[in-house]
Amino acid sequence: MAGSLARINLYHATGIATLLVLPFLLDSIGMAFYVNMIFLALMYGIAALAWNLMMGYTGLFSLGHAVFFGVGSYTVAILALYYNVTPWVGLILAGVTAGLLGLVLSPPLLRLRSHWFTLATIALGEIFRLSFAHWDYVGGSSGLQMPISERRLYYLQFTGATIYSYIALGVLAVELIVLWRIVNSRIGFYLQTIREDELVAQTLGINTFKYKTIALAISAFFTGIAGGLYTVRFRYVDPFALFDLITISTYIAVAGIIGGIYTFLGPLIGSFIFIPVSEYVRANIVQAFPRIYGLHVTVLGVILLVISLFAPEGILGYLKKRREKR
Amino acid sequence: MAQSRSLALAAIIVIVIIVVAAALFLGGGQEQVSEIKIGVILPLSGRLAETGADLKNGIEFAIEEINAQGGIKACGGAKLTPVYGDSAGKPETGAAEAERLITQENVLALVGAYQSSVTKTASEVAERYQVPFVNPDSTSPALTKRGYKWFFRVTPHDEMFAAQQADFIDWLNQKYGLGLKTFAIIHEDTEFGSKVAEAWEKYFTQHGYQLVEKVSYHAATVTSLDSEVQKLKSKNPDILLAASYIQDAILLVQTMKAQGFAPKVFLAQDAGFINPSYVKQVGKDGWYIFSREVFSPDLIDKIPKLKEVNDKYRAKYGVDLNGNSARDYTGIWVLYYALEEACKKASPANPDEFKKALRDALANLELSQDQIIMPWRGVKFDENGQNILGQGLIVQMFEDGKYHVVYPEDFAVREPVVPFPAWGERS
Amino acid sequence: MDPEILTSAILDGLLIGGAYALVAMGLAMIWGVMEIINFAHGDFMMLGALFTFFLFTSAGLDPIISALISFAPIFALGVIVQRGVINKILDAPLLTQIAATFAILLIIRYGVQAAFGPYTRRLVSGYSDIYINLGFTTVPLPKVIIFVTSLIVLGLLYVLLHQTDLGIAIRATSQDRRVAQLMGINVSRIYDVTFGIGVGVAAIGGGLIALFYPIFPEMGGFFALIAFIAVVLGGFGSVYGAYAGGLIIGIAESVSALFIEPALKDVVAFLIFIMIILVKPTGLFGRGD
Repeated sequence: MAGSLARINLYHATGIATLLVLPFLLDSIGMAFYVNMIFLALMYGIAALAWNLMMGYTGLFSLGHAVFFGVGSYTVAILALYYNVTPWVGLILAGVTAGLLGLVLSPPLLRLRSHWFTLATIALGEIFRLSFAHWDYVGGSSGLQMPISERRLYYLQFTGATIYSYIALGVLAVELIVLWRIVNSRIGFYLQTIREDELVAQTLGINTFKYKTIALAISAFFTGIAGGLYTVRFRYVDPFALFDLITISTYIAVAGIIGGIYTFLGPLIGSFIFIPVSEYVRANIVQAFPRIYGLHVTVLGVILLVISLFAPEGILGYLKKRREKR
Repeated sequence: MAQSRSLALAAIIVIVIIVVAAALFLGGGQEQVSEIKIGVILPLSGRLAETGADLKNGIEFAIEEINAQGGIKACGGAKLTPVYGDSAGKPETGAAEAERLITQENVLALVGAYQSSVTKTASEVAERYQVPFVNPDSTSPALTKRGYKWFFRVTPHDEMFAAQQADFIDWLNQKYGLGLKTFAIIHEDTEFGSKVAEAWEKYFTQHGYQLVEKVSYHAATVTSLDSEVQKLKSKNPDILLAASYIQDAILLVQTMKAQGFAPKVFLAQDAGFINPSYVKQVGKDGWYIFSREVFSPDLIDKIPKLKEVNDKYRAKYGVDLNGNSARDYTGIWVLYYALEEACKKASPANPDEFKKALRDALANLELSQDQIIMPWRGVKFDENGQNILGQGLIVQMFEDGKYHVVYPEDFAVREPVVPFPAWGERS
Repeated sequence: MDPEILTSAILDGLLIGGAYALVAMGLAMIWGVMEIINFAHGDFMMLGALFTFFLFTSAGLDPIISALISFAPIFALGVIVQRGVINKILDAPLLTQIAATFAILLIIRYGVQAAFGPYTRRLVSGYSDIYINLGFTTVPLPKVIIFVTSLIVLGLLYVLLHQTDLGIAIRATSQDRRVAQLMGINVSRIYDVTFGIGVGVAAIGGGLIALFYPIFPEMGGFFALIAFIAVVLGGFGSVYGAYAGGLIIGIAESVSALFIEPALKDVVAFLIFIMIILVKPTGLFGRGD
């Protein structure tokens, strides 16, 4: 994982070039479904990279990132709807709100370790979902929908996913730079020490609570922005779609796991595998077997099972191991 | 050195992608005027997959009928071809599917999407792309308060239903002298239940009834309604109003029976209570419960052409038409009549012009009662796209385990059984 | 507050708590012995309910007996899943374990939906119509049955774990897998049995819940989450603690619903959960790390 940002290799160059060209290209030949796929993969990828700062680098397994994701989404929606704040600013504030929430939640959450922590995050997601569904200011169970506005650039309202994909790419670029700096700094080293053995870290004089809080807040920050991207893209927020244990919290984690949590880019790669496969399977298997409901999710389960059994270190982890063996 | 080699390889990969994508594009984009593609967005997987199956039957059946009678005649007998999109019950997936159907499948109109939250995002996409969206089955009043120009809702919405339900209670008091004064509400807490509860509160209070208790629960996680029913029972309301999905509706009825809670009138709001699966499973515990409906097979004698449709439907799917399948069936027929009009003005070969013509045709559409199988005065959309000629029915489940129409009087086939008998006093 | 309403709420909570406890005990046992969080636990419960339903409707068996019989096929399925999947990921990172069990969840839950349709089924038997009048309240017989069964299962598990060789081997394995292996215990077989019993007990719970609760493919999700909380309250891995945890959640939910919007009663369960792990991170009945 060591090295500098300047050391861009063949794979990275290809990846960057492809990502830059693909949304535009697919859009121009009318393949909206695939552009949306790329957008979703970027959105989940941004969240999964952030999630992995806690998982892969700090050893805190969250299944409650929907909380930060959802709060980010609602921030953009409420600012635009009630205060006419442009989502361009809203996106940044989404990160700030989610990050602050991370700070507030860290004293209770970070007292817990491993599975305790995971379960508490699941519970938090449930609390947020139910509370938002009963909170009239945020639209309660109906959620909030952005009205169609002629000020398209100000309110970021475009047809299709192409422009949103480029915005997400911009966010991703910033995130990659920030995270890369962090994991290769003193903080990153401390976090990994905590992951390996928290007691040892404490003995070494590392303020483990402080560094775990930093990891949580940064992770929440970028997850919140990913949530904000959801709002600008779909222009609708509702508590059941956003604070969802499976389609938000678990998808983020699964993307990370598939890609490989002990690699820097793993979660992003994982997202680019998991989201397209799940979208493709959903759209196509439903068409092929319209009367067998639920089959596509079953197939998704089989795919996930195969990966966790035969490449448990994730795809990037597996490739890395094979390269090291040679 | 390594850098430039990387870039060269990257460029090659990008070019390959372009070529492959272009090949796919050229291979797939053949348009035929002998068919008119319509996109259908339904919850085909996920929690409401069961309802989605029902809705899909109604749509499939209507399309088969239309194609069998010669397709869209004004378009040279072009056949309707449905392209399905699964919303999985999620608003973001509904929106993405709407985009896919519009831009990739080149559908000329969209139909769907049952859950109001999904209809919200999917119709917003249609509005942006200027594609007519026919909504046969979502009842949130908010949908037709958005000022959309391309959105047409065929079904009456929850406020219209609530107003009619209050009329029904007035009618019961008048005709049967029940002396109903107080009411309580129990509802599931997604948008459907919450909005229905709001409308009930508004209209029933306007009609002079007193609200004594209002409780909600979360249908996706509810395992017990014991404390909810206890709360209701302790306030002893004359009327209980319920808005539930399937599983929770069954649970509610069972819990009320367990606790011996029998208000004088138990009036439910469609959804779970009229679902075939609920009807089959609830058995005699469901007797004498009123529900708002939009449709009933009882109407066979009242509405010409319904018997024929229902007999064929029953032969094919083994069940009678219900409120969900009948509404989506009607939605497709409404679209059909508009398509016939649009075909006179524009050709589907010119999609943009045709969509505009279809929108205008829908906006100006006037269907009479005998053109539809629904107990409505017809179909005519106001400037918000709401069908103003629609109305609901009040049905009650009788000892044959079926719902029969008891109100309004011109469609009624039975006298209502009131008050709701105590649980112990049933055979 | 009317004391009668309060008492009947507590009683209701206690009875539904018996259902939660049945699901939670198996989860606790699997965690205690194998250190695996079985995400698909609620879905094995759903399979039990479905199996009970089919036995009742097609073979005409008594639903309570059907529920007890459902232990056998679900136990067998549990063993297969243990051998085929769980055993292979025992030494994998926590997160891979969760990914695999989550995949099992998807396969069972949506496989059932694909195979048997997304339909809601309801088991209508003679039991659903019987109520016991206690004067201040009536309780449905099925809930009493489930509570009594939960007590019996608790007793049987106690006997199994403390009075039999198998139980001693299970407990030895849970203390230290390597030492147990050195002592000649076939650890892999112990895991088979543990996982099988864990999901089998949940299946009994599912079969009995079906007496008063509709059966549908996704029914296990919420029960599983409640079971997690019960296991945590009970000190993670303690079967008896999980039992008590299940009852506590049942009562907390049902009583709190008297004071707040009932839709938020689940929030209470989760808040209690978070508060307890803050005050006592090892759970109410845990003995510390």
